[in-house]
Amino acid sequence: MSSDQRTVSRLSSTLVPELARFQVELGAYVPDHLISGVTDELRDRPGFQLVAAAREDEGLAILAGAYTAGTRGVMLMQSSGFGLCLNAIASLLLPYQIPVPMIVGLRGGIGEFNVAQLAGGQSVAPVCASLGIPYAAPASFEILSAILPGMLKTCFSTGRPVCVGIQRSLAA
Amino acid sequence: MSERGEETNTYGSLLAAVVDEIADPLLVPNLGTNTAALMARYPTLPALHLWGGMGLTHSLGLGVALARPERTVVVLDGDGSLLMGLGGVATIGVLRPPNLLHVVLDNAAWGNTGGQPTHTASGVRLEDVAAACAYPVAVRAGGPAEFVEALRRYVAEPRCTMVVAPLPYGDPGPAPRGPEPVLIKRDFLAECLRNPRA
Ligand SMILES: [Mg+2]
Repeated sequence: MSSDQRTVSRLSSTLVPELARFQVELGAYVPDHLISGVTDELRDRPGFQLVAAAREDEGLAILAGAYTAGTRGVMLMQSSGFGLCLNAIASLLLPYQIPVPMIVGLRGGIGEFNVAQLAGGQSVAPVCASLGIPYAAPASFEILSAILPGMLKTCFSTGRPVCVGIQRSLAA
Repeated sequence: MSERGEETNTYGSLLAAVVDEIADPLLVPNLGTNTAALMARYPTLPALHLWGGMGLTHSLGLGVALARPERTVVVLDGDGSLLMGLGGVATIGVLRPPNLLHVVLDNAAWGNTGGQPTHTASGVRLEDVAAACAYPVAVRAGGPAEFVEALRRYVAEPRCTMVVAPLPYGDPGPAPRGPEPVLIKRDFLAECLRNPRA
């Protein structure tokens, strides 16, 4: 869809300007329908490069390499793919103190139909807690707007990944 | 001896060729033997020495290449690491940054865990994977002369390239005690920002 045909989602109109304010110029993603409005907007955004990765840990590595070379990036993925990221986070982002905000579409919550999504989706918060990664899954756009600047400030000021979980209620 | 009757590739011959042929490279060596071999021989070259990121070396190199299009990025990958991240080969094949030279030091062995055979010991050809993933150039360099020739072809016409260099498995010796990852990153970032983008 071209940008003139698309109505910008409320999720992307909340996230994208804030990422720009923090000089994020690169994105990597593996598709997720909950946050596809954000990736659609980033793909067409002037001055922004969006890379389609084959796997989520690979996306984090691309962003880590870019950060060590002077470019800030954001990772967009689904909670199922977050499960592939432990090695990249634990052995790369954390020891090298590489900041990457991770925007994660959350499966496995209330209303989930697929049993294969339950444990993975429910594990995002405790995995982040066990790694010392700041995590929030805001319940409304108002809360998302309120926490996002702080999450990004903590990410880039302290040199560590942060994770924002996007619940189904924010996907519309 | 290689099929063409030349000497065999070694860590020393391969790294010396990269240093001699590629001007002002940014180096991304795979964790373990490649980082150890590079640190032992060329400790002051700008390199993102890896102690982690198993299977992700080439993807890191891709990110560096995208962020610094004016610099040549040389990934010094390992066969085991690359086999773990074949999806990342496809992503490089999609983007094909001309400043990315992807060298694979293929000792057909898991070098950090005692030299157990990797899949390349059973005939898997990583340069064929790269070719199938649309790398513009993907070649095998059986000996030092072929390796130098491949690097010179890259310099003459920079296109996203994989060069697979088979070498015998051998313990490169203990890794020198390098700086902590956070200092490696600091120095690499400073090198990358030394010349601002035009
Ligand atoms: Mg090996």
